[in-house]
Amino acid sequence: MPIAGHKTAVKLGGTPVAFTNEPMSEVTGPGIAARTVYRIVTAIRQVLDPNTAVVVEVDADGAGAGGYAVSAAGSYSLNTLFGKVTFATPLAVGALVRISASYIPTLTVAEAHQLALNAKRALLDRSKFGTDHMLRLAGLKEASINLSVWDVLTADQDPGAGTLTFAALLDGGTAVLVEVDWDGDGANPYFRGWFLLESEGQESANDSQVVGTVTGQSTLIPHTGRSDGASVAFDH
Amino acid sequence: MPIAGTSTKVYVTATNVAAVSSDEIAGIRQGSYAPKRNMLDVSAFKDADAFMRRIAGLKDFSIPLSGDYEAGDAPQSLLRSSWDSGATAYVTLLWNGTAGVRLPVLIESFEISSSRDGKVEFTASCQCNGPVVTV
Repeated sequence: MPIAGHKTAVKLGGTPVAFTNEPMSEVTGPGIAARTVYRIVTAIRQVLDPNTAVVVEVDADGAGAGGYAVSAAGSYSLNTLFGKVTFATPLAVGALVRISASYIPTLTVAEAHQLALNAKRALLDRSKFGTDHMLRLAGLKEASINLSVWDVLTADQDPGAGTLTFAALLDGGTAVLVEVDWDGDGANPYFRGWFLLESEGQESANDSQVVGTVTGQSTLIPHTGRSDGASVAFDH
Repeated sequence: MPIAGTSTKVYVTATNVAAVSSDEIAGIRQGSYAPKRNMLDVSAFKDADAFMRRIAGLKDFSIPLSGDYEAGDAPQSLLRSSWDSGATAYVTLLWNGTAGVRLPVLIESFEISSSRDGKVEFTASCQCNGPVVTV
């Protein structure tokens, strides 16, 4: 179903909030092995702060005789953009999973009116003797973003106690989480990613609004205490 | 015989199999297929007539697709997931709705754009990753 652009919601990541023992539910679907992928139940807690260590615990018999035990960091992979844990070995039937970490609340960019996201992949030539057509290998992934707002770039995007401005993000070279909800319905599928702001522009004309434009390039943020990290992802 | 563009169907599958109706990509409004061949210059000093001489090298093609972004459409989602995983996808283009080509591709880019006074739209750039199958 086509989507009217005015429904799109663009959000930035705010100040992390700690939480403990958040339940996770199993994710099922085509190509997903049973009892391997689990997702944080509470939607607003699904974006995890990469600068806070994560503790994943499993109750193997599901609130039976045993209790929760901490899972070794190497026994699962972590998707911090969508609050998912993927275990290398399927869990026992009835196992319960919970997680302690910090989540990143998302803050609406109130005056956003135009957005373009470009997810790209380097394609590497692997053509060889004996075949007469190109063969390629998928290489590095990256994304770029271009956002326009009816506002000054020093406007505070955090209505709470914190302060978050595009100008400070560019000046400080600080990576920021960007979330796009294309149909604005508050439910998946979203796009989320970590971006470094590359350039900004501010324009004004006596017959128009003051316009701010921001461009950014994706980057990978390593997760504290782990070898994996987060860059960009569609929740498809 | 001219063909109305409205007859065209575009599908995507995860494997090299005949597409079915559920594989048709929703929201697509424009697609093209541009096969080409690398041209290798074999002109030589000995060629006295000043004309280029070439031999045909590797075959290649690109497929730009564009249309309305549809969040819940499984084939559009397959394009995004194929970009994410780097897996080969198979795009089937049926110009008149019944005959055309099936093309193994890697998704080079997937762009989504939104503007307050327009629609959410997407473009995908797909590049050759194997031989063309005539269907």
